[in-house]
Amino acid sequence: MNLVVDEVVSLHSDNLSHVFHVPTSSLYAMDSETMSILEGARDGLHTDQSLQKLTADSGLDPAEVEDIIDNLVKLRLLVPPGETGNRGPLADRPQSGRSMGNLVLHVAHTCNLGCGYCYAEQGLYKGKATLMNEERAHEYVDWLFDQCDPETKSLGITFFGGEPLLNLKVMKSAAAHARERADTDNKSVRFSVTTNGTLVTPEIVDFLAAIDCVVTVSLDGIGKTNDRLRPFHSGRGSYDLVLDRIQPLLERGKVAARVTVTRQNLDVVDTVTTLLERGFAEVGCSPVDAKNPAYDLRGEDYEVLLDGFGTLSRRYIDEAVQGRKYGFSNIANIIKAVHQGHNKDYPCGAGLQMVAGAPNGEMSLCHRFVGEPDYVLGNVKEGGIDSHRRLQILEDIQLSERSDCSSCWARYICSGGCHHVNFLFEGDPSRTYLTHCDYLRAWYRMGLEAYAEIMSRNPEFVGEFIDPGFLCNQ
Amino acid sequence: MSRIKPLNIKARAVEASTDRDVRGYAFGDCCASFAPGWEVGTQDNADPCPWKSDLSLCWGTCYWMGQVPDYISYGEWLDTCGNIQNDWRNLCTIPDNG
Repeated sequence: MNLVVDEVVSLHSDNLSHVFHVPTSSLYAMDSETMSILEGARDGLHTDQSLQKLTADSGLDPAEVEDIIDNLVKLRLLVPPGETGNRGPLADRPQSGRSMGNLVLHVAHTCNLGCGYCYAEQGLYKGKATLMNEERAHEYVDWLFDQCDPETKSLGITFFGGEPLLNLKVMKSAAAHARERADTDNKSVRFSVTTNGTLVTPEIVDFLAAIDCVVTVSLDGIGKTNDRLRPFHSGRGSYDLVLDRIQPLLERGKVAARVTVTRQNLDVVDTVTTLLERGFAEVGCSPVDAKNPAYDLRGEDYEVLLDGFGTLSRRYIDEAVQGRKYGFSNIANIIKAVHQGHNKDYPCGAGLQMVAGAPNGEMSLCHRFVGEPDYVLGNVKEGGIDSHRRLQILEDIQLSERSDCSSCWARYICSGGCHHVNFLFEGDPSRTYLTHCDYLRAWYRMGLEAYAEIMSRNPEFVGEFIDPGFLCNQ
Repeated sequence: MSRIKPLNIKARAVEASTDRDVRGYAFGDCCASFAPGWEVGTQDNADPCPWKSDLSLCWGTCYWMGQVPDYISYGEWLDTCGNIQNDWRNLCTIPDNG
């Protein structure tokens, strides 16, 4: 007998005991006896005496304790001392050798709003105001299809900016060309757009519906709160105009709102509640990264944000127990990640499955790195991505290169955090920005608990909304 | 395992893998790994390709191509080896019939 408890996080709530196994991202429900054996073994079971003491402390029959330990060993929650931290085959393999499936097309490097926190400097991305021309857009579309693996059947194009609707003509032309290529190549193509909503017209609503485009509208609060953060260059607010213009889109359904959370709009409960009432299908919140003390969150702000997330997550759980989905994207996304057991070396698909294309032809690690010369992967005018450069960057930014993350239990879910946040605050995407970490761990724990509660009270919800076809009681 | 219930997909995969022989699999370094391969993938249909799953077992800083036999064709290759750390000399050699 020589066993230790592998790296685990214990979760206790309302008579429920759950354990998250960090190396494999596995989540288990267990009865209180099993939990007490696992916790009693925290100092290790190195001798027969330690086993006898654990058995005596538990008050269980020795055979029962042996059975429990046997099962904990099978599930690798108890392991020999030299075998801790093994991910085995359950790590999600990054497909760095494969082709790109998603292109973020920067059709407009300019914006009609002047949001003070904008990482892209109101859409300019360290350059001059530019609209992508039609020829360039077609080159990008052709590149996407030409480099695509034969087995990849579905490709994605996101229209982005600046404000992409400032270049509607090129959006339409690129979408038409992509659909032609999809027909020719026997593939499908999905479109999405992130817009400020100020320029939406009935014609645009029809166009977006015709290409089945997923629409995300950026809004940072209700009324004056949004107006202070998202003004026109003249200083005039945008909230009333946006809600008026996107009404036909909302009536068609499936429009998401994206809320950038700053120090000035921390009331996420009111924002999410009101936007859902106005007809958005879902609302997601993301803390700003502006490197500006007027906007960036600090200690107490994260507590307010987490408190709001807790309230919204509780609503999500309560609705889920009733078999309904509540449109708070953040908890939906983390529940999906917990369900799948994300165990990743990279936090996102940047450079792996996704690349951003600027109007000048430069292709960057992701949309946020556009305009940063060190993270240009290639140029669409010169054959696209330089595979050597791509692999070089991917090697630098993978989780295993980060000593800061090596002892964090959330490392395989977070995978070091957003490359651009790390770059912005630490000067290097491979150096983890530790200010976010406490907040992220608290948020992931909330996600684990939410998933555990839903699986306990209404597991069918997961099979219906999170993973269609998943047999919950298998 | 009535006292422990696997909830998410990874937990179910771990539980399913307890039916397999994973002796020696926990060695950290790829050159010491005696895993029997994951020919049908450990995530059901997510990664069913035999050669790929063998290679990806050692994904990371290196891989050792063809380090393990095809476990479907040579299902008994570990049977002479009760304890991989002590009995590895008894491992059978897969003949090259090519």
